[in-house]
Amino acid sequence: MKDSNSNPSPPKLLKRFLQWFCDPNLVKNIEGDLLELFDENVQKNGKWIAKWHFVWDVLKLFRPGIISSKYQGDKLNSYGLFKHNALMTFRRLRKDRLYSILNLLGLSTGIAAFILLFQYIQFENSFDQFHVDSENIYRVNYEYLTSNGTNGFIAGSPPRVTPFMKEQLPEVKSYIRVNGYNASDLMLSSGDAKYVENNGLFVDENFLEFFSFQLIHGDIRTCLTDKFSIVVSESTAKKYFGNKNPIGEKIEITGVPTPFTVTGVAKDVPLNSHIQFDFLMTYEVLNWVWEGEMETWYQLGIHGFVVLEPDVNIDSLSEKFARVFEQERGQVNGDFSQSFSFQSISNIHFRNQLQFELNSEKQEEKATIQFLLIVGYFILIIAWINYINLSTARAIDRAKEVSIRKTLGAYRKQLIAQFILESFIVNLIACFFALLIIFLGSNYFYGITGIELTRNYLFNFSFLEVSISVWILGSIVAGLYPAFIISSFNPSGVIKTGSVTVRSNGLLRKLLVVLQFAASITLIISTAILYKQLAYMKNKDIGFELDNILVVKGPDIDHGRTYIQELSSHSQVLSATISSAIPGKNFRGSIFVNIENQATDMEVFADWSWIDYNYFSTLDINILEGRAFSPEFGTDSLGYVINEETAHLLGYDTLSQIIGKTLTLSDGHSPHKIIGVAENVNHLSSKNAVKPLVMALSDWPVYYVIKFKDDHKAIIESAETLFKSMYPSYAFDSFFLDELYRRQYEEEDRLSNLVTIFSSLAIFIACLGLFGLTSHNTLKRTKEIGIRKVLGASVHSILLLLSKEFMFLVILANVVTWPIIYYFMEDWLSDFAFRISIEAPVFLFSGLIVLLLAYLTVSSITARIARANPTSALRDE
Amino acid sequence: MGKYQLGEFQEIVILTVGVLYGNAYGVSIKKDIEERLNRKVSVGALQAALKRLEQKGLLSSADGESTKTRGGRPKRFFTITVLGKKAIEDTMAVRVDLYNSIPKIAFDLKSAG
Repeated sequence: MKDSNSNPSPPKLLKRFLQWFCDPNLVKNIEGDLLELFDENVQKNGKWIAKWHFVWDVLKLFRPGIISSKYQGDKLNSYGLFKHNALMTFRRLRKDRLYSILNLLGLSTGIAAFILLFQYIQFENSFDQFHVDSENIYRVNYEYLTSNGTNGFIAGSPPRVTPFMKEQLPEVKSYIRVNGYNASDLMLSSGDAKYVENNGLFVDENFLEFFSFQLIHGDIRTCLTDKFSIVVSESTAKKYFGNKNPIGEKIEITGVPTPFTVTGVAKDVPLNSHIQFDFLMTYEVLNWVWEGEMETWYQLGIHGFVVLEPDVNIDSLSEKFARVFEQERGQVNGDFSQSFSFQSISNIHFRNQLQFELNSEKQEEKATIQFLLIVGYFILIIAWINYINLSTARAIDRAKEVSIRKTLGAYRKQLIAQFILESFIVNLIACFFALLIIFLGSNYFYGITGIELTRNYLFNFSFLEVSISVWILGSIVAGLYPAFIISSFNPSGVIKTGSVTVRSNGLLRKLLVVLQFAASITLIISTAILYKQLAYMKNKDIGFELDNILVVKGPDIDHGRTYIQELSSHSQVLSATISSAIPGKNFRGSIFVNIENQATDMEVFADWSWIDYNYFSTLDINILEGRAFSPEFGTDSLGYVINEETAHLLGYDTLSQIIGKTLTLSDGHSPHKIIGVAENVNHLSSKNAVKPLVMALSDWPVYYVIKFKDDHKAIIESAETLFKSMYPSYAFDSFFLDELYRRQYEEEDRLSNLVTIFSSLAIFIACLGLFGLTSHNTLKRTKEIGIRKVLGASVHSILLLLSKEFMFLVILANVVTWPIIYYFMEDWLSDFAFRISIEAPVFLFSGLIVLLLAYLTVSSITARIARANPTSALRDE
Repeated sequence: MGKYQLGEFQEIVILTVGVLYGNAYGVSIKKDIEERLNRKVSVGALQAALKRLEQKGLLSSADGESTKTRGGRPKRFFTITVLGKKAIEDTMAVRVDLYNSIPKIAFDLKSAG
C-alpha cells in the first residue's frame, strides 16, 4: 500500500554522513539493511523512535572495519612503506660510504663523549645519597670569628654539641659522631699480619643504624656496644684473616694494651660516599685513649651528624640552637663569636671552604662538575650540527630521488617521515657504536683520568635512560631540518633540468659551522688556561724542598732520636729530623694562641706541630728572625718557633719585635718565649692560603723526615733495615714527600686530562664536519674549477678561492668567543689563592692552531681537486 | 581452539549464518541473535564481525537481487565456506572436550568450601 503522504524516511543528514565515511564496498548493503530496519521500526514503534534508532545505528557504524580505508591509514600498506624506507636508508648508507662514515664517526664519538661525561657527573652528584633518609641527614658545622679577623669555618663540631642538640631540640631525631683524624697511622696486627692503617673511624655505637652501610656478619645493634669492638670491611678482613669468618678474632693496635675483638664485617664502602673506612672502632675507646678530651666542648676534628625531622628550616633551627647554646654555655669571652650551622649531607662532597673535611682529597669543585656538563653538551651539539650540515649538503644529491617519489604520489608528510626514519636509524647505529666505544674505552678512561668509574657505576639504569634519550632527541633534532629541506623540492623543475635550485640556506650551514668551531675553540682555550694555572700552582715556590725526602712513619715510642742518629751515619743521608706533621698532610691539632698580656681579641687560631732539631734545615725552610731549635741551647724545650703569618696576625709586622715575647696557648700548654720566626710555607698545596703555625721542640717520633742524596732505592732499603732491627714489633711504612704532596693536585690533574681529551674530541668532530662539507662543496664545483684552470688560474689561487669562505668562518668563531671565555675564566681563577693572569698569547695561539687545523682539513680536499687535470673535469658531463 | 581464533561474538555470528542457511543477511542475522540469545546487537558491530569473518575466509558473500523495498539496495547474503565449517567443528570439539574434562567434584557445589 503506497501512501506518499505518510512515507517517512530516515534523516537525510545522517544518510549522507554514512555515505561519506562508509567503505564503498559495504555502503549499499548497509544502507539497505538500515532502511529495512527503519521501515519495520516505523510500523512497530512509530516514526520518531525509528529515526532515533537510525541515528544511533549510523553513529555506531562509525568504526574501524567499516570506515573507508581512504581515511584510515591502511595499516597493511604502512608497514610496507616502512620496510621500504628502512631498506632505502641502508642502501644509501652503503652507497655514500664516505659521508656515512663521516657522519657515523662524528655522531658516535660525540654521543660516547656525552654519555661518558654525563654518567661521571651523575656519579659525582650521587654522593652520599644511598643512605636511608639522606634528605634529612645534616652535618653540623662550626664557625667562629675572633675580633682580629681570624675566622674559621670547620667541617665539624665539638663533641658535646650534637648530643646536646638531641637533648634540647625536638627537631633532632638522632645524632652520630665520627672521628677519622685520630685513626690514621695506626698499626694493626693479628697473628703474623701487621699493617699500618690509615683509614679507620671512631664512631658512636649507632653508626650502622644511622648510616646505611651494610653489615655482612654481625649484629648492627650490638657490634659497637663494647668498648674494644672493631668492625672491619670485607677487604680488610681478607687482608688479616683470609677467607675465614673473623668474628671473635682479636686485633691488636699498638699503643692500646687491650686487644680488640672483631664484632662485625661490613661490605666495602661504595665509592660515592664521602665517609670511607676500612675499620670502625668505638667512640668510647677514643675518648678513653684521650682521657676524656673527646667529650669536651672545645675539641675539634669530630664530625657530628644529625637526622632532622623532614621540612625543618635549617636557618631558623640554627638560630634557635644559638639561643639554647648561649643559655647553657654562657657567653664566651669577649668579642669571640661562634655559631653552628647545618649542612646537608648531599652537599659535603663538593668542595667548600671548610677545614678538617673528612676526605678532602676526593672532593670535587661544584664548578668543575658544571663545567664538565657543559663540555658534554657542547660535544653533543657539535656532533648533531655535523649531521645536519652533511645531510642538508647532500640534499642536492637526492633531489632526483625525491622528485621521482613525489611524481609517484608521495605526500610531503610521507617524505618527511622517511627522512626522519632515516635519522632514527643512523642515530641508532651511532648509539650502538658509541656504546661499543664506551665499553671498550672505560678502562682506558680510568687510566687517563684517574676517575674510578667502575663498570657498576657506568652501566646502571640511568645509563639506559640517557642513551635512549640521546638517541630519540638526536634523531628528532638533527633529522627535522634536513627532512624539511629535502622534501621541499619541486619535482618538475628537477627532472626537467637535472639540477636543483635549492631553497636551502647556505647561510644556515655557515652559521652552524661557526657554532661548531666556537664551541671547540672555547674548549681549547679553557683547557690551555687550565693547564697554565695547574703548572703554575705545581711549580710555584712553595717555600720548602720537596725532592729527595723520605718520610718514615715512626714507632709508637716516646723518644726517637736514636734512629735519626743511627741513620745519619749512612752515606746517602744528608740530614734527618723528626716532626709530628709533614707537608701534604693536615695538621693534627690547632689551638688558640696569644701574646702574654695582650688583649684577648688578638687571639689567633693556629696550627700546631712538634718538631725536632734540623727540621728547618732538612726541609730547607728559612728562619727570618731569631733562630731554629738547636741543641746548643738547653732551654729550647721551653721555646716556640712561629711562622710569619702568626706573627703578622698577632699584630707584629716587624718580626724582630716579637722575638722574646711570651706566647700563651689554650689547651693547657705552658706559655713560652718565642725564639724564632720562620718564613711562610705552603704546607698544603698552593690552592690554600698560608695559615698561622706554632711549633715546639720534641723528639716524639710521629714521622722521621730524611733528606737523601739521590738513590731512592738505597735509602729505602737502609731505612727499612735499620727500622726493622731497632723496632721489630712495628710495621715499616714509608713514602716519598714529593709524591705525597703532588697527590693534592690529583683533582686538577684529573680535570685537565679530562678536558684535554674532550677538547681534542670536539675539534676532531668539528673538523670531520668541515671535511664533509668541503668535499661536498668542492665536488660540486669541479666543472667551475676546470674552467678556471683553463682560463689560466693557478693552483694556488684556486686553493685560496675555495678555502677563503671557511677560513673566514673560523676566524669569526674565534673573535666571537674570546670575550666570553675571558669573562668566565677570569671568574674561575678568582677562586684560587695563587693564580695566573690571563694574557693575550693564549687566545692568539689557540686560535691559530684551530685555524691551522681547519685549513689542513679543507686543503686536503681542495688541493687534490685544484691540481686535477681540467680536461677530465670538463669532459664528464 | 587450534588455528581458528574466533571471538565470542564472531562465533555466534558464524553459527547464526549457518542456522539461517540461504537467508543470512544483515537484518535477519541481527534479529535472529536478538531473539535467540536475548541480547542487543548493533548493526555496526555485526557488520564489522561479518567483514572480519569474510576476511578470515570463514564466510563468503554475494549480493541478492535488488528489490523495491530497501530503496533498491540489494541484500548481501552470507554463507559458510569449507574453511568456516572446519572452524566451527574445531571450536565445538574444543568446547566439548573441555566440558568433559571437568571433574564431577567441581560441580558438586553443596560440598564446596
